[in-house]
Amino acid sequence: MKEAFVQSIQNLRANKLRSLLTMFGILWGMISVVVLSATGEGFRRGNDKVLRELGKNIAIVWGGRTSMQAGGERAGRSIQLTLDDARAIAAESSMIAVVSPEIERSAVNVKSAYNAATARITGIEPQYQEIRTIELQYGRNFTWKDEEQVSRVAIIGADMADQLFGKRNILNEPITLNGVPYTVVGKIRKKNQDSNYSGPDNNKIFVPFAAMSRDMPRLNGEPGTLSDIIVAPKDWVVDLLPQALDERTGRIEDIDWPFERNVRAIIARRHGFDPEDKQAIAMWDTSLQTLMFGRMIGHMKQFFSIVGIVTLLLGGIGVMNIMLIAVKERTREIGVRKALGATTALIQRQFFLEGFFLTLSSGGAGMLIALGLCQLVNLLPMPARFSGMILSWQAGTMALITLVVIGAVTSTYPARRAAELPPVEALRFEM
Amino acid sequence: MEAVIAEVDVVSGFSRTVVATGPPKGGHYVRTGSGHHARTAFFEIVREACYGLYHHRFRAALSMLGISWGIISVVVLLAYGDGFRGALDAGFRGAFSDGTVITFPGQTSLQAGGERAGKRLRVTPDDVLAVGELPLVKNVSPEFMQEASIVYGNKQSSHLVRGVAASYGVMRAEKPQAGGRFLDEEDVRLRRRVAFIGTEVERKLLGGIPPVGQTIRIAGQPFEIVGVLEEKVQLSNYNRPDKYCIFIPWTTMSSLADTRYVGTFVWQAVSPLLEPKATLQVKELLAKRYRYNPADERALNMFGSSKTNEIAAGMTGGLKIVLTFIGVLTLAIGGVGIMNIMFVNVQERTREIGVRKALGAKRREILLQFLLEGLATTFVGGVLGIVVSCGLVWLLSPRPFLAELLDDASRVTDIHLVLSVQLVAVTSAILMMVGLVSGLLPALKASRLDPIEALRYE
Repeated sequence: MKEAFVQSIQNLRANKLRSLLTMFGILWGMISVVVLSATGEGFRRGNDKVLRELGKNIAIVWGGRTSMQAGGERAGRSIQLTLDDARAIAAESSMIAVVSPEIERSAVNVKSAYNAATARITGIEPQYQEIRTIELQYGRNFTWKDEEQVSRVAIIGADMADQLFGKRNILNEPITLNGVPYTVVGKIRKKNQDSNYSGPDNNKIFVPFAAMSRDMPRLNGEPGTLSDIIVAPKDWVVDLLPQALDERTGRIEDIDWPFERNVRAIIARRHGFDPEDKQAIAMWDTSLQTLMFGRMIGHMKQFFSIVGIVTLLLGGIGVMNIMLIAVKERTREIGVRKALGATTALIQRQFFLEGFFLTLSSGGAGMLIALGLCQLVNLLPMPARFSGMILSWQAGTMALITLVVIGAVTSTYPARRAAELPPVEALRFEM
Repeated sequence: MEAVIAEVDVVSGFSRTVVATGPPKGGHYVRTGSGHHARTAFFEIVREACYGLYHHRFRAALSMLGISWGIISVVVLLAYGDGFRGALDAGFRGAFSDGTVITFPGQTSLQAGGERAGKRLRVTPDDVLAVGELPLVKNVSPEFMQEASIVYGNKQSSHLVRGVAASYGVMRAEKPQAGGRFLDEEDVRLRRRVAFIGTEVERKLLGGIPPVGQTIRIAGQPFEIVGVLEEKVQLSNYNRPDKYCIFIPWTTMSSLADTRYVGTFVWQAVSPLLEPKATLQVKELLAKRYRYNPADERALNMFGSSKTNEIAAGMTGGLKIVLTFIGVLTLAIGGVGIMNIMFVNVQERTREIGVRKALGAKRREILLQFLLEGLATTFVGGVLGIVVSCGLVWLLSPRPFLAELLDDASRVTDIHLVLSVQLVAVTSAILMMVGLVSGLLPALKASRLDPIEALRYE
């Protein structure tokens, strides 16, 4: 085995230029596999990051207007969601993981010691911060204690903080919201949020739900009503989405998603509208977006991987071509070795190892170069929705397996040709 | 007399090097170099090249496969890049036509003229008309948005009503379906109660009844439908995609909502190129009217076609660089494969080359022969590759991309692989370069062989 290995290396060194050129094919094939797959993965992660800014897999539920007659009431009745609806959803739905009520007021006059602004104020419960990705640059998040004590505290979006305080540290600074004094307890990190339902979080001020409903209830709604309810489904609900999508008969638009049905049924019972009435509540389920974007990027990644593997195969053809030539050139050597008693298996192994070694070493080198290239590219500033070139371990393993398979396949055929040469013919062979 | 000559076997068309005694009978001497034999000599070279290829047909076939493979991968990758751009453009074009900017009044963030920052900017329809008077602005429309209850017969639903001017249709690419029209100047001037509706509105309320001429009730008031929006795919929108909306003259809007201040206004620069300059003019005009600092970034938020173009170009640019890089280098692998094989050929035929040189063949001729062999391989492989990629591009198109996301049944926002003339030209140019380089190096090596050394080669 060792002898065969040494001999392989000697043979490769004997034809340096040829070996190098052949290796370049595989090397490049490997680089393109890794680069393409890393690009696809970068798109996937970048996209995930942007989706997470609003909240991955959450749904926003608003009250709507009934469009079907139900229980003696005419259509066109306006449905206003209440805190009790939020509590009922949390208690009754089997599909829900997290629920938070939300009250919003726009055009609130905000004053700090330094500047003034008109801002949108949002009242939220603590669990909201996790599902809506309210992550702080510094300070503390809201807790249930803030709810119990109805504390007048606020956390502020990055842009709004800049407007109110400039570059100053905003922790424990007093502000007034429509004249009511609050204390700043946190600053939200700058968000790269590309979708929103009532303005980007960078421009918002958040306060505890209890304080909000006392100090700034909704203006144009009945007392005690909410702006909306944020719900996050359990993981298995999200996992069922592709099935619903694939089993649809009409347009995607017309699918009645199981999660939405579930939430609507609970609210329908409490407000006495037809559970089939899709317009009675409005629901924006971001997990659908996540799913669609995921599928879109999945398709792109798939295309890229196929192209990459095809490129690697091309390198494999080069190896096979060169190995066939090597067999031909060394026909007499093979004849001599066979005449001296070398077995068919031995010859086959010799040539197989040579080709296989050539493939693996250049493929390995290609992988290292590609990883270096990815690192280099990642030093550059990245556009939105792209997290840089990242090789996932699955893709890396996949590439290596493909390499081994290609090496094995392209080395087997020339090795078989070499091994099957009849010794007498081989000895007589003249180029 | 003993001479080493190259004899051409006329029957098979292949030549081989032999050692002949005496003058050959019936064969052709390979006479090269003399002027009046130049034509014959060239054919000899071509014949030699063909022989070389034929003799190593398996090898040549594998090299050609390499080149075809490379070409296919370049063409398909570049076509994918073009299709990607096309899909994004198709998605954005639904939002607005070139040079159009949507402007959202915001609030001041810089202190100016004795007033504190944070003052909300309220823009009136008069301001919007003044924007329309600016020299670089071609079209302008105020826009009021109001959610309203819509009733047709016994059906009821809630939709976003947009009060706009006639030019809005051009700016936001609101194309009417056959038999209908968008709102016109007269509608606005005479405050007509007419409505242009999105396809989803039609589906929900009318469901099959010919819509034009029907009367719907918007917040209780009767409006006549004058047109329905064509199926529109929209990658970006504000508030809601147009297919869910109802458009009415902004002058009529006053009976539904407060129209003292506009929600947004939409304007279009005289040319997309002048959009940045026009943007400045708009900012300065409003800053002067409301006495705030024109450099205040947050007083007016603008989103225009130049921004979506930027987004599309940015996304496509990055992707195209990667794809071109991969594609071109894949083709290069094919080229390297050919070079490799040609080097081997030169090595194998060292003695033949020695013989021919000894017989007086010029370096030029040897060079040409091997170069031709390389070029022929590249050419045949390349043409095959282009033919196959035509088929492949047709077969693979469209690749799923945005259509599912946008619920676009027409699939215009999927990636359509298209083989443009430009793409084929670029690919062919690269191919020629590859062929030339990978043929030239081994051919140079062959032509520079020392005849004495070459003859002695074992």
